[in-house]
Amino acid sequence: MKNSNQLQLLNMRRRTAMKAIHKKRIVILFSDDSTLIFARRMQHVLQKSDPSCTIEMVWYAEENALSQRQMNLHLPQGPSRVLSFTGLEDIIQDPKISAIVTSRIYRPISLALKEPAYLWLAKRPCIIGFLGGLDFFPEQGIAHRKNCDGVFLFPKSAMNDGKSSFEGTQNMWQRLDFGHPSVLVPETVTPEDLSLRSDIYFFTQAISPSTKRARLHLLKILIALAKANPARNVFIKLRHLPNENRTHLHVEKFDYPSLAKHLGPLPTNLRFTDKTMEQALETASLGMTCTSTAALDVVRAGLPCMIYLDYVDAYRDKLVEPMRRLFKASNLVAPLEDILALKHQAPDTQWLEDMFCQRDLGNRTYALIEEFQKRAPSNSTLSDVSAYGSK
Amino acid sequence: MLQQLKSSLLKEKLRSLANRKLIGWPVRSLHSIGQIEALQPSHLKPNNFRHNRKQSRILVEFENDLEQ
Repeated sequence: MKNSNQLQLLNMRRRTAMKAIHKKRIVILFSDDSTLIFARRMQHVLQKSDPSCTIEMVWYAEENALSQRQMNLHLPQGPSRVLSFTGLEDIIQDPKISAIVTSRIYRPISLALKEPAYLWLAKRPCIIGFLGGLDFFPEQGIAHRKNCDGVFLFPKSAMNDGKSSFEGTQNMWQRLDFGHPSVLVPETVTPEDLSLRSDIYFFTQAISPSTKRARLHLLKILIALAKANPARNVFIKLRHLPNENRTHLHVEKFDYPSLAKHLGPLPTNLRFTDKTMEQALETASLGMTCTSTAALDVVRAGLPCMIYLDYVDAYRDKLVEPMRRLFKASNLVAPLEDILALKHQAPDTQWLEDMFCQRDLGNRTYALIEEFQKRAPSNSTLSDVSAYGSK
Repeated sequence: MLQQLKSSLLKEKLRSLANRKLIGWPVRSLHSIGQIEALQPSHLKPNNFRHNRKQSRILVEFENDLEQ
């Protein structure tokens, strides 16, 4: 009797352990504000598709460029885990993790993905690489992700480049798909809802415009807009505060709040804000930007969007031409006359189709992970594979 | 290819020269002068000059209309 009870207990424990292994556990990595914004959106997409899935928001502190304020703003509950270089090396071999989703290929990941011994490891997480955002130089972004197990690219026109980059990699199992959590098909905002909104948002970018004169020119445009529309608030949405992101990939040389001090008292309806993009889009009636991919966020929210690329010194800016190329067919690039008159146009439908993906991104990600886990043959018996972990 | 090699070799030479404490200062100061925004040759191209003037003029006209 005692023996059978013990056996039952043992079986129960084994079943619970097996359940825990089979339960999906996904890690999303971040290290700065851009990757954290991606991580939050991806978490939302995955949780919406499967609320039972455990998603860990993991902070890779080795390349940290986040301030406490940014962390509180985007992830008030804090990260699930904080990892160092070796910590990340460990989790990419953890058989209990189904997938690691990342919008930046951190060094431990890129090093591991170059090792056949790691690639052929049977029970390891599926490494899924998304683009950081809209990539102005897609060749570079694709090259960084070419060894990942799963790669999600956008716009659709980048898919061919992605396919050819897979050729010649040592990874025997790879899947390429279309999408990004920042470019889900636009929501529809009713004209009634839009008529209740009045805020105009200008979304800034850290390195562009690159010159002080160009930024002052933009500030003067926004001042003029605020004066011309006294009943509406014009917000300058900052990506970060002047003292933040000093170790970020893109460091802002001339911040708007400091430059505004040179232009005397601002109109009372022109304000700076450090709200999140989601908070801004809740009240925005119109979004403007120069070379910021925030334009995609505005379109995704179903709001009117205007892109101004003809600013003073635009020829000095490396991001202007790629931005113009990507938005050429969008109908959103506007001359200064239209910007000042707030004369916006609806985005082109063909361009929308090329740029935005369906809202089943979460399901497709899970399907990719499942397919990865079933991949054959299992090579865990190879001696060099078992040796990988002990390196 | 040859051009690239030449430019990278020249870059390397200049970098190593600039890193020398005493004799590297002329290279360092020339480099910092070259970084001054106002001295960039692209500002002098007629097309670019016209572009800047046009954008500034549109804004000034709008501001003038507002004041009237």
